[in-house]
Amino acid sequence: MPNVTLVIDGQTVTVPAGTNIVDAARIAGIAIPVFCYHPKLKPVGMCRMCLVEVWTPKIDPATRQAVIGEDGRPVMTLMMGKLQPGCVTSVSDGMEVRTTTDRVRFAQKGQLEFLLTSHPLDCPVCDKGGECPLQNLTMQFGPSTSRFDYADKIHFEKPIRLGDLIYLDRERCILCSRCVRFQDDIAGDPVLGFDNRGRTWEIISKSDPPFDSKFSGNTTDICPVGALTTADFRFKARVWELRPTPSICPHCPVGCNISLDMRYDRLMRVMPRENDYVNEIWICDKGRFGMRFIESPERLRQPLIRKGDTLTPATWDEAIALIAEKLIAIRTHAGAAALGGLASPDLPNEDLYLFQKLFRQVLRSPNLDFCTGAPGEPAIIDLGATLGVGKGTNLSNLGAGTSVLVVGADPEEEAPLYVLRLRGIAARGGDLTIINPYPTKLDRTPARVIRPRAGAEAFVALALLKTLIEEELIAADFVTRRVQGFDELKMRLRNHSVASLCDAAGAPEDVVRSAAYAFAKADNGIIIYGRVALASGADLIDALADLALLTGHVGRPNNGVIPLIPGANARGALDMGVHPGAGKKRGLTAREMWAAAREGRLRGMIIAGMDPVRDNPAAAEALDALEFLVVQDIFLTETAQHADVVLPTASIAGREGTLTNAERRVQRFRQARIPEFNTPAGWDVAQRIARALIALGVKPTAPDGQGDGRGASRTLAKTAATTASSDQWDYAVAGDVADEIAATVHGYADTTYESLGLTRKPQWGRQPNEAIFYDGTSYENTEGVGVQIAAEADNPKATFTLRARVPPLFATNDAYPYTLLAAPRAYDGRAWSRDSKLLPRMVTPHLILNADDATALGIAPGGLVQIASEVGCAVLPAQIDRNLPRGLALMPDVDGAPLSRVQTGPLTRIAIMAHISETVGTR
Amino acid sequence: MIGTIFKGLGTTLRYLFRKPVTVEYPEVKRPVRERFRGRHQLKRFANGMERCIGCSLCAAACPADAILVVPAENDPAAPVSPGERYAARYEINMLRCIFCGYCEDACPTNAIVLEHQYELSFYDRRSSILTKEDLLVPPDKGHGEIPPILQQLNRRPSPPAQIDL
Amino acid sequence: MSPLAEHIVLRDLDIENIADFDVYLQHGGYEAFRTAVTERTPADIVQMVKDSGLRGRGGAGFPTGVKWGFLPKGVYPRYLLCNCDESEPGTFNNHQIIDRNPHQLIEGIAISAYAIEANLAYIYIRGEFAAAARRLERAIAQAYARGFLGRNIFGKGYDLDIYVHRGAGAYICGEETALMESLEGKIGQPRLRPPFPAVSGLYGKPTIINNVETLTNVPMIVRHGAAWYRRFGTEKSPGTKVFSVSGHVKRPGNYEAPLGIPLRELIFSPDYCQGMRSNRNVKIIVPGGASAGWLTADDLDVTLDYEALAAKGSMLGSGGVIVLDESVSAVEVAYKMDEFFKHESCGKCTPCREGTYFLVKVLHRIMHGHGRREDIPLLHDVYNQMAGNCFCLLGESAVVPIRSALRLFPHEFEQAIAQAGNGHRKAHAVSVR
Repeated sequence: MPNVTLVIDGQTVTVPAGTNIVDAARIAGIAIPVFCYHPKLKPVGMCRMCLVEVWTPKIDPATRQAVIGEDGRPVMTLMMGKLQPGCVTSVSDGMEVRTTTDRVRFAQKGQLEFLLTSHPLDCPVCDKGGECPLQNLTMQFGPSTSRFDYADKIHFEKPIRLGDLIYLDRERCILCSRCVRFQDDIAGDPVLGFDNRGRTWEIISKSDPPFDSKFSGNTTDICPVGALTTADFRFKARVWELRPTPSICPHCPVGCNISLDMRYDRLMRVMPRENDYVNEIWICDKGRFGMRFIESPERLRQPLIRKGDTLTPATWDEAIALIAEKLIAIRTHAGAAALGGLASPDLPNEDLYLFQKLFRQVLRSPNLDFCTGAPGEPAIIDLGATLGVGKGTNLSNLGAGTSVLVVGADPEEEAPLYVLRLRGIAARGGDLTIINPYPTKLDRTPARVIRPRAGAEAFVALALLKTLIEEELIAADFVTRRVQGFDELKMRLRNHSVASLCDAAGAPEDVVRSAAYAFAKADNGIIIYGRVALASGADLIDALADLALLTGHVGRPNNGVIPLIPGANARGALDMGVHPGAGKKRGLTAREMWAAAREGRLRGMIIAGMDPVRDNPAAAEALDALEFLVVQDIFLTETAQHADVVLPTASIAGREGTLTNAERRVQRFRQARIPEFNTPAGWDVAQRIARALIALGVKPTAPDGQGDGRGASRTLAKTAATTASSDQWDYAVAGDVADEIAATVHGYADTTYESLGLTRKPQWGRQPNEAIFYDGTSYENTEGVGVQIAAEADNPKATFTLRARVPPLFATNDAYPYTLLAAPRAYDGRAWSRDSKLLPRMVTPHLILNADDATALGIAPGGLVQIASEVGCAVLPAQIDRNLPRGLALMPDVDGAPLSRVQTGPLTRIAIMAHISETVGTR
Repeated sequence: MIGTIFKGLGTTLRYLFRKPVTVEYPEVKRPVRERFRGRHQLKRFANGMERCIGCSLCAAACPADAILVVPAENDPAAPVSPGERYAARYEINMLRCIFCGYCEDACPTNAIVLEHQYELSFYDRRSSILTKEDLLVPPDKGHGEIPPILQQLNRRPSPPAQIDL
Repeated sequence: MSPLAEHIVLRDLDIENIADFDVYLQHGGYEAFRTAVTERTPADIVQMVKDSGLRGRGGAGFPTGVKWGFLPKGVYPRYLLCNCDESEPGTFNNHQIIDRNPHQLIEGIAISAYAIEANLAYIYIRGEFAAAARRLERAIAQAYARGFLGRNIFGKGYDLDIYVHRGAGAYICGEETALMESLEGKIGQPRLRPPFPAVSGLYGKPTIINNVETLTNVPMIVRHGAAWYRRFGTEKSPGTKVFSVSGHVKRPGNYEAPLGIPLRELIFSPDYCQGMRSNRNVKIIVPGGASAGWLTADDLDVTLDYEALAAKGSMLGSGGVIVLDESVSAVEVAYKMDEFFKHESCGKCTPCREGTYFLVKVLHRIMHGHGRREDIPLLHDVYNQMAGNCFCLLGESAVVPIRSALRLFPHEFEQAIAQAGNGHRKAHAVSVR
């Protein structure tokens, strides 16, 4: 867009055409006060706080030329003869804006006097007090005394609950509609609205349950007064008493930048921290309200050692000595391969790195995994390391010219912030295609929706590929240079037409074709895949990889693949090598470990931060067969109850570390408090065990070098972590581990704490005077925006082979006519939800059925259904969804869901029948 | 010279017959000025409600960081103070306090008042931390009505920024 | 100036039972529509309306033909809205038109829709006009039955549907963009302009919105030609206007008169209002609904047309002439009017929402003998803080009564305050809602 030059308060500013005056002034460092305007929201011009004098050159109607005055300068006229709201007035050439004249000051003072006439002035009890734009602007621009009688104020009952998380104080509300607009435009949950009019205009919640949104907490941030407050932080502390600590949300692969606001050593609230690359200024409610677990009284306080049937408290020395002794014993009589380790993909890189180092170099066992080995757990097929989005990707800058494919993912449940990011791309003119077997909330975004049959998603991807080939939409130059196997791919697809592939998927051909066209023609193409795509299997993922390769949408910023692998740091787990294919020698996967344990081949295990026994009886059985089990966790989980030694660790608030998000951005979180109960960080636990082992004479090996990945899937092999690392176990702080990671792990060279702490001022940093917009909104990012590590494709010399092939159709089975799919849920009711205000929102186990299927089966909403598969059966309540495709049944993957009892794999054939309760009919 | 000596002796003689300024403390306690700043008290309204609304402004104003306030939400059925907020914990560390009275100035409800008690000595450091129980005046010692605007409204009133006494 | 020989808008005064479909047809009804559709192009009609100089009768007085010309070329569908949310205090002419002469309005809508190439027209009628809405619906049904509306009108392939939409009685919904919001099913609040309705109106499509009276003029213009229409009224304000006269006159009511009629004639002529009740003196004249600036007895010789009234700092507005005699108090009139605006403020922008409330609170205490000396400068400050700063014209309108009152009758305010114990008495506790 062309640039426009204008003068604001005597300063000449050049900004893109279409910029509004408030934004133009921000660039010049001039703060025009605002209430309803927010840089992230569309301007509405309601609060009238941003009124300024706008002078434009007088245009002669006859010649359409500016009139030149006697002094040789253009004659200026005041636009419309009155003040103009800066937020909705676009700049134009030659414009002169005056923001400090008496007239403007009078208007600003007037608006503030008006706003305060209805304000209760209860700042001392208000949670916003201290970071309140109304307070600040009143101090700067407002009248010093009120001419409005206190007795004349309108009073409302206070507060009312907008939902179970958000309280509304209508007296304080200045009706700027920021919250309503956030919900409508940004979150895409239009659950707030207005009622009444005039002085009794008020915000209401239109949804049932009230304020049903996963992003509701953000409305309290952008609220310029204390009208919206969270149930979580109400009357906890005054904001100036808080010590904000930069942290990273540990709940999902997005890796939102958050701030843990501590008062002394207590967590008071969680606030978003600005990072345009990751979360802009938003966080989801899970991140905001789901951090109370760190102060749960149920936290483990000291090591526990099994004595008979009970776990009894012990000292660290006892516990570590016992572990070392037992592990050596098992290794001596059963070999190193009889030892296995599982580490949670939620753990920070430092923990994962030392965990695998302990296994590979000290215990010399390759049996490492970050999966739980549940029967329905899909294999992790990662494209992030190879074809991941290019270094420098920033979704918040993308719009027109960008095409995004969201394949087999429910971002709202798996990585909620991606909903906002994708909606943002769509709102800025980007193109969005959603390929998922069942409806998700993202469908509400203007997008192309393709609904393939469950398990047949690969055919959609193949149809897209075939369309590319047929219509010659291939990025020919890129394919010649860097892609192999194109002719073979064409041969493999030779006997299939777009129509037949679409037919196999159950997808409309014209929509598939338009999606292929849009994706191929876009400047930037991004593919996001999630849990359902993983369940669909390697055929789909291979086809997606080929899709990215054939269109050339890899190896550049804003192009590539974003895999949403479950776990906050699954990316890190893959990179650190906590998976069986990372080393030279292939180890056992989690599922193989359970089998091996039952057969006695696996004797000892260390499980870190993971609860595989939960909802999986088979794992419990396997663990009981072990000789020795160490569990390291922050709670006494079900798994921990099977352990011989339980080691407590510090939570994310009690230590520092790094997490790698789905876009391969390594981000550092700081220690917010002294560790709870003086528990050590996970990496320190691994170090203590390693030191004890070495002290007992175990000789660490040299690192086993870059893995060749035989037998592992190709993507896993390439990420193998350890190249060369010291056999010294003398890490004093997490930074020492991070330095070793930077030195040894492929791609992590630039991830020392020093570089992670950079905020990259040239591209980063707020405009001057941003406080006026962001007061109370989110914390400025002063502690680093993280470092995105390069994907393999970022190397211009890397070449790739096309692998897509046409798979057989997912077998139908008349005895089990329905397909069961586990649906991820953000509010899954697991360990993180302890003490959270979100508890009432936790999803309870249920089965979601199509309405017609339910009618045919005689199942009423809420009624019990019995489901049976080849391996087992379960009874649970049903929920009816009119939009779910027929023949598909969803079971939310939540705490207590009987998935493991019925699942035979990621996709399970089941039979469903109405459950007749035993009590019915007898009485 | 001599005159000067007699002048000095005269002064001595004059003071010999004056009332001595020495106060026989602790048997006799010296009265203090009205605006003397001694040990703090947390005041109540006449109806027994606490004036303190837990706003922490005293703690913010305190140059010695002697005050700790932990607020909490009032139970609407049995409110401790007018409005939604009250001080669940209120502590002043008297060893830190420099009796500057800034807390008194900052208080929007005139809840914290430096009174005339000056006998402040402690056997240990812990007992120098006065808690809310120590600081609060007895319920029957309240004074000042809750401002009419707060009284007449049949709702959970919010105190205005400054309540007049 | 003599009264009209023949009425253009209030034809019910000339022809009995013109509301009856057949009577309307006998008197040349729908002839203009037939001529337009069968013989003229839409552009012809637009040009004809442009030539006639017809100006919007809803309040702003914008030339209708020019407004129709603002439609972007080639963007369809387009919508025609008929604004019948007549809620300006003192205005009641639309009601009479719909009640007594509905077919002329329907014909006007049909011709205008044809002229702007719209196939869908909505009549947004105020919620309280339940009977009128029923009457309109009946009349529309009759027109459908005769093939004057619906598909393929007059065999020329032109389709037109007219729907009646009842509002809920909010004053703000008479504002064109708020009307559209309300019609779309949203909360009735004005939209940001630009974009103007002609570019992006109802459902984001080009939309023309005209007042009932404006549209009712169209059939007669098409029938008799622009030159005939220009014979009425003045050079810049051609045509007639229905003045709704209320207040302390002997014979209040709707009077159709050529634009440019002197105010004195409208009030005192035996053909119109026949003078003041009880022969008291005129004190306040509000010539164009509550949002128009006040005139006094000194201004009786002003002519009622757009330009002359604008020169007096007032406006013709919707033609609701409120005449008040010396028995009323200016403070009370200002209070009543601002109370109305306070009640009708939608709440969207700060100055209107809070400013009207503030004004009413201050006026209320002055009126009830609790005024304070500082209240007069306060009132000046409050309305100045509102003037020019509001989102839409409602807030600006609320400024007018109090500004007029303070300008024309400052002594009444001073007196009211002086009587309140020399201004030292404290305000009694105002009951709190």
